[in-house]
Amino acid sequence: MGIQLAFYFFAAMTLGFALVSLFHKNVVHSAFSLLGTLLGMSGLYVTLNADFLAMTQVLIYAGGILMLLLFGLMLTKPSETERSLKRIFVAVILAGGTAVLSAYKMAGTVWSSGDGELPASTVKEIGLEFLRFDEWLIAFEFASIVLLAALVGAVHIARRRFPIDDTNALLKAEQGGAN
Amino acid sequence: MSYLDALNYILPEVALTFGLCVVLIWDLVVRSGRRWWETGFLTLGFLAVTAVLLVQRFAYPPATVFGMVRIDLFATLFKLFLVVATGFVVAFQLADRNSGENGRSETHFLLLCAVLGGFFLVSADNFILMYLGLETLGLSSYALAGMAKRSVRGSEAALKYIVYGALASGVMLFGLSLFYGMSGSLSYGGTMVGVSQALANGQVAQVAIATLMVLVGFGFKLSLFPFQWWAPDVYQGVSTPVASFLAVGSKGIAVAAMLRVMATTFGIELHADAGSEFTSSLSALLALLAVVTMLFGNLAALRQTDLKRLLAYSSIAHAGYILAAMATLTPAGFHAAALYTLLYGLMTLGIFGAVLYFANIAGHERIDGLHGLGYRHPIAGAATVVFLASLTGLPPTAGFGGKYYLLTALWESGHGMLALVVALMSVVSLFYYFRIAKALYLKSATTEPKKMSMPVLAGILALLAIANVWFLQFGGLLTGVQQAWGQLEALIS
Amino acid sequence: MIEFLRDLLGFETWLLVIVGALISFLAIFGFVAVLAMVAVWLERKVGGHIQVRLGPMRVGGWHGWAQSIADSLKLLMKEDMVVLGADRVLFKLAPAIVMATALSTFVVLPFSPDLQVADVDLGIFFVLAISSITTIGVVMAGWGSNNKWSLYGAMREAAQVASYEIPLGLSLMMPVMYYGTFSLKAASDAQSGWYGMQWYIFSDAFWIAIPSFFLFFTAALAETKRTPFDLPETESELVAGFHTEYSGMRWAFFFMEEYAAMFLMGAIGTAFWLGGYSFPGMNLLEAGSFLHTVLCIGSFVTKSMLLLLVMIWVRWTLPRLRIDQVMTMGYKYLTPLCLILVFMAAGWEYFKFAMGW
Repeated sequence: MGIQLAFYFFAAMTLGFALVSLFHKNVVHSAFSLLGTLLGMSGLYVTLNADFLAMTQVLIYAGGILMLLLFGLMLTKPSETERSLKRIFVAVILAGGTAVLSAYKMAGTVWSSGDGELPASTVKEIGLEFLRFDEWLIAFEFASIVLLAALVGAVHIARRRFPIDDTNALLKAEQGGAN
Repeated sequence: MSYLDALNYILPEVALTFGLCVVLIWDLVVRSGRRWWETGFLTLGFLAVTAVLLVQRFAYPPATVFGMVRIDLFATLFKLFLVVATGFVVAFQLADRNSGENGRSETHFLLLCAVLGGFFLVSADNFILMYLGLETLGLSSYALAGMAKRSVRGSEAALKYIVYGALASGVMLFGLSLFYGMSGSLSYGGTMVGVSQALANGQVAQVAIATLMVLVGFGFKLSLFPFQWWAPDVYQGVSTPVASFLAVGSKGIAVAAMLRVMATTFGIELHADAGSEFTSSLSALLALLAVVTMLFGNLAALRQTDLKRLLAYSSIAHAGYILAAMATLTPAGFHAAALYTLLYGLMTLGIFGAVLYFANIAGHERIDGLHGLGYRHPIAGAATVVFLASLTGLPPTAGFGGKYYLLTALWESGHGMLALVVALMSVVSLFYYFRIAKALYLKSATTEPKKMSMPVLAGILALLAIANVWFLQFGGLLTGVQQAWGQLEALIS
Repeated sequence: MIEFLRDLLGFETWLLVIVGALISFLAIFGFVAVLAMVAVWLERKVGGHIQVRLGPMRVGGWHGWAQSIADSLKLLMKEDMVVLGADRVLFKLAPAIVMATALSTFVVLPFSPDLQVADVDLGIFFVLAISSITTIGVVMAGWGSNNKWSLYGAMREAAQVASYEIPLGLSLMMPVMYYGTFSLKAASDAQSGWYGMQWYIFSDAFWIAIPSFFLFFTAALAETKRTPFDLPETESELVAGFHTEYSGMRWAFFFMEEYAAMFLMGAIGTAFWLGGYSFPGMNLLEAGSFLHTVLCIGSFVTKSMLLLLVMIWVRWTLPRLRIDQVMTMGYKYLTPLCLILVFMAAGWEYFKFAMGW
């Protein structure tokens, strides 16, 4: 009973805030309402006793990725943070059609399910699974290479200067403006 | 299997990981400004070591190590292909006179990362590892594309690449999650059982949706029709060596991974005696995609004036040929696709090398820059003609062999129409490939071209040209592919 | 708390969870409110004496002890203002989010072996995750205020806190590795041997514990936006940073959050490095007895308050860093040092394992 209530509460929270973030006119509000979505999802994980996953969700998505998103948004002008309804309309028709179609089909699918037993806590299990070399170790280790590549690539792209000819063009434009 | 035995199986990957760490640290600690070529030679060295280790792995019996890495002949063959192709890419880059800023040692690190990603992509036996491999390959490629510092166009291309790539991999992830939901397993084998059960339960549409979504991810990497928009801009925007990596390494390894995923995930369906409704519609869909891709690539290539843009459309067209072979969903078709991918790599590397060579001399990458250069640079010019013949599929070259086998496979599996389209499109491709040859030999230069000789690059081109002729006898390669495929399919029965 | 109620009533419903949560919330809120008053008074007195002043002396008689109470009454009665150009929703929501996250993190603090709202397996991971949301509240305040200074403050906060979460998390890895648990209670329990003196900094890994504690403390200063890392609210540059436009109770919430976060960091340091609630001679008392519990609580709060006092002391002693210095400090010094320590700690654990100790 309690767990079902919690499930419906978190599910409603996730979907509700997701809708707000879709339809709100102000992009910054949309971004902030993602916080509710992400927290709702982590709540859903908690109802499944996946506590580690839930907290990782909060730490990485709410604390990290949403933060970066906001950081980017705050650097843009407020006037640019409005969006057009027409585009939303087209997007809703396209995406909504796909969603309805697939949801209709998904509803009839027999999904594979576990034995219905929830683990008490997942922290120790996750750690032990990573220690067993023929289970998930290689994917875990390989993920670090993925992140390393992403990090180096991001730093290198972000570090780049203007190419020489472009810099000259910029300088000229600035001088022209000053004169 | 003990931990050390398992580690022995993935020793090439370990060597590569070690190599990329060394390159990164070398770059950080030792390098001084201009000497980026040091890491280039380091990278070549590590690639050579990896290649040697891979060749040793040919003798190993197939095994699944670490629970999700499948080491068999098929994986090793394509890994070797990727390593050799990347070796050529690095060599191109070292030979590139205009590289300047583009020759930063990060490129070498990212290339090694991409190779490692490709390794795990092709030998993954689990969707998690497959996705991670795909992402490593993708992220490294985005970063490589983002290094095109020359122009606004390069930045735009990189941005397009990232956005489309992220979208494609997101859609693919959703498809994978649907497979997981149906089968309750992330391994290919478990998914295979789950898929066949789902199909037996009459959930054809659900499997089809998931399959389509996974196809999007691969389609992006292969630049198949609805997902090909990034390719011309990116190929044009990035430096030529990087473009050749995207066209050969990234695409080739993605083809191999797609072959493995299709053969193992739908293994039961493909081996059923009577072709099920699902496989026939999958085959029809792939055939349709192949036809559209071929048409688009070849027709759009006709009007290009930029060499790399032209090659981008040509590589789209070749992806269409490969997909046509896959669409048969028969072992012979898969063999043909794998074989054609290997040969395609050979000729595409050559033609990109030629573009690099002539662009260095002309100072730009338009076709009119080639005017009259064929006589002045006899080795490179002759090699270019060989590559072009190979790309078109004309007789004394590997391209002919590959296309011949591909057409045979198509014809014998009853896809006569598809074979016809492939043949017709090859004729169309003759027109635009011929334009390059015409520019080299039949047009005379309007301005006096720069006097410049690049003996190393010319040597590489000659080597590739000889290989292109040599592999007209693809029999040995085909036997290898067939053996490899046999090992791959041994899992299913 | 819920277990306690369950034992008290003898049955369990989902209502119990809600009631338990409410009681816990009220208890934590009360504790934080009192804590903030004491800490503000302490801050003003310590600051005063460091600058050879007396600080508040008049209200309440003895050394102005009632000053904070008077201030809170004033803040409570102030007009509830929202700036005209502000984004009303975000402006009002921000202090609530900040306060809520600050309070939620207190859930896992073990004040004594028995007094803890919930012993979550995730413990410190939970604290890190929840406190990362505080930043979002601050950014919300900065953006909602529609004020340049606020926005700058918020951006600095976002950059700084996101950066320092890395060394903070890494420095916590050392005790987590040593005790093999995320749970603060389990770590405290493990430190209560040797008559309550088996603290991490006195253990066999003391040569890792002591440097890691300093790294933790530095990162904690930055996490709580305290001088020398108080870039988000530099008075000389940004008026008051992200809370420039706030007044009254909302402003007070931000301050309560700051002191709550300081206490929290002190408490984490206490629980992982300084023995938690253990105190010398605690094994002589019967576990669970009233005196034992009281002394445990006293020990825990005292140690945490001492660390809070050090933070105040640092604030009135050190000058503020520049933002680029802050970033350099975080990325080029703290993070690599933490990584080296993680390697050393892992090596030490493996060495002990290999030697069979």
